[in-house]
Amino acid sequence: METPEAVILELQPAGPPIRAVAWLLDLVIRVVVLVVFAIVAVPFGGVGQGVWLIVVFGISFVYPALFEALNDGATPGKRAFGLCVVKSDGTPVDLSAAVTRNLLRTADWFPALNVLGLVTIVSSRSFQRLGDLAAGTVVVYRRRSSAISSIRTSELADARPVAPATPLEPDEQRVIGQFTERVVVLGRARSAELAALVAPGLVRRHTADPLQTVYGVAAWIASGDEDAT
Amino acid sequence: MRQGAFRRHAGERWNRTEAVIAQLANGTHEPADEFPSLYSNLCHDLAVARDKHFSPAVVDRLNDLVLEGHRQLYRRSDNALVWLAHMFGVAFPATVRREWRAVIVSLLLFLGVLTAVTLWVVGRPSVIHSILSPDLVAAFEQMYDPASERFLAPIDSESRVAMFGYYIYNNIGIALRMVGSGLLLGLGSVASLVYNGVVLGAVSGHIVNVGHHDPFLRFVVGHAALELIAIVFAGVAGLRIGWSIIAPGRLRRSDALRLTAGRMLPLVYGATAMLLLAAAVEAFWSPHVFPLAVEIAVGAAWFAVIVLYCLFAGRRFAL
Repeated sequence: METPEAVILELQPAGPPIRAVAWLLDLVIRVVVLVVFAIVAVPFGGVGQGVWLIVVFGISFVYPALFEALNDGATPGKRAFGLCVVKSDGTPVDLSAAVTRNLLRTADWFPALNVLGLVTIVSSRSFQRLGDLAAGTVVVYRRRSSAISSIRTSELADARPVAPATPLEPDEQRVIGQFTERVVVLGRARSAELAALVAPGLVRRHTADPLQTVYGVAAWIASGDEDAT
Repeated sequence: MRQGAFRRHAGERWNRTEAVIAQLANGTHEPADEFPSLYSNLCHDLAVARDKHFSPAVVDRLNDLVLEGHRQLYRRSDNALVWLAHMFGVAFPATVRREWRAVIVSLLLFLGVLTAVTLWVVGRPSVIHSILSPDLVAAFEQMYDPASERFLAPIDSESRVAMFGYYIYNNIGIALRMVGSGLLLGLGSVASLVYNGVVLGAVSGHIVNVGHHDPFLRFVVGHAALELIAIVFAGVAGLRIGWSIIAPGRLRRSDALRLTAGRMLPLVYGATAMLLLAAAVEAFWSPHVFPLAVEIAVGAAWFAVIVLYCLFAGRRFAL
């Protein structure tokens, strides 16, 4: 996506599973609100009943559109999972876009259980359901999940930054960052084994512990500072 | 410039930009002073960082900042009153006029079917039983029975509020689903229009047959124009959205859909507003018993106002 400032921006569209989870959280919030209103409304008889029905209408039709239009494109559920709705050009959603994408939710449920919605989401390039196509919107992650900037393990924080022997390509830097993130998953022994394969070529003077070497390079990358040695 | 120098050179400015963006986001910052220049510098920095293949830590941070800044810079702040005045003073009636062909189709599918079924049921009373279940028939008969208690004792204000809520929930829900189901190639809207036409027509015809037409007419005439025409407009929006997928013209289907959906929004807002009004009339005016002539006059006045509004409102302004 290119901005008027001629800068290419990367947006990361959100896939069906996380959107389903966000939707479920919204559903829970909506049901809780309805139940609370129902309990409060009972003593008020007919007036309470009338107000409650208006709330039911508001919760089912107005809630998502209103939140997306006024709350930076995110219902509480989307916000909780770091998602938001933006227009395809990256600008914030306005009222008409928010209304359109939520209005057309009806068709997504056809024939049952969001089948059509799911089919259109997975068959469109940036996970857009029909409502998104009609409104020209995309559901994206508010911040891109960036492996490097999100490593905050204590070991990494302790590691002394070490500059690699040769300049690393951005992809290679990413691989190293992601590797240090996955140490927990891989287990220490396997990680050390893998690190031993790359460590000799990675730096000029490598230490006894290859894993520590890789951590050092990752720390150097994360610091983003070429001059540190 | 090497990365370290680059960071030392611009790092302070990035922090400042980040702070300004955060302030803009929570509304504690006056827009339009230093932000645009900070933002354009930021874009420049991102381009430089990408071009020189600086580390992902730097590029990702700048990308996220630019993204956040982009959101703040291109935020639109519309005045709600201006928006409302334009929507109901110009956009809604102008859209009705522009879509007059679809209005005729929707009118035929809904009110045409309604009238035809009414006449059919009046002509052959037994037909009602193949349209509606016996329970429903009995419920409607009882609802408009002149001997039933609601026509003898005045309705208390509490249940009026309850009915107001019900009309909003039910009628606006029907209208909005009618628009949304237009995405299914318009078939959802067609089915909804025809179904509602058949049911309402069958009920009206049957009420006439059993001789309860006087209370029925008295109750319905006040809000009929608002409610029925609003449903017709919701149908128009659904039909046009469906048609944009069937016959996108020279556009790609997704583009045609996006353009049409945007153009139909005034109809959605308009139909919703009309149904809100109709719900208020239906809940708070229709249950009153006035002389028949007064009730018919009020109903006719509503009809005339709607027709004149749709034909003439906002004519001077181009859409």
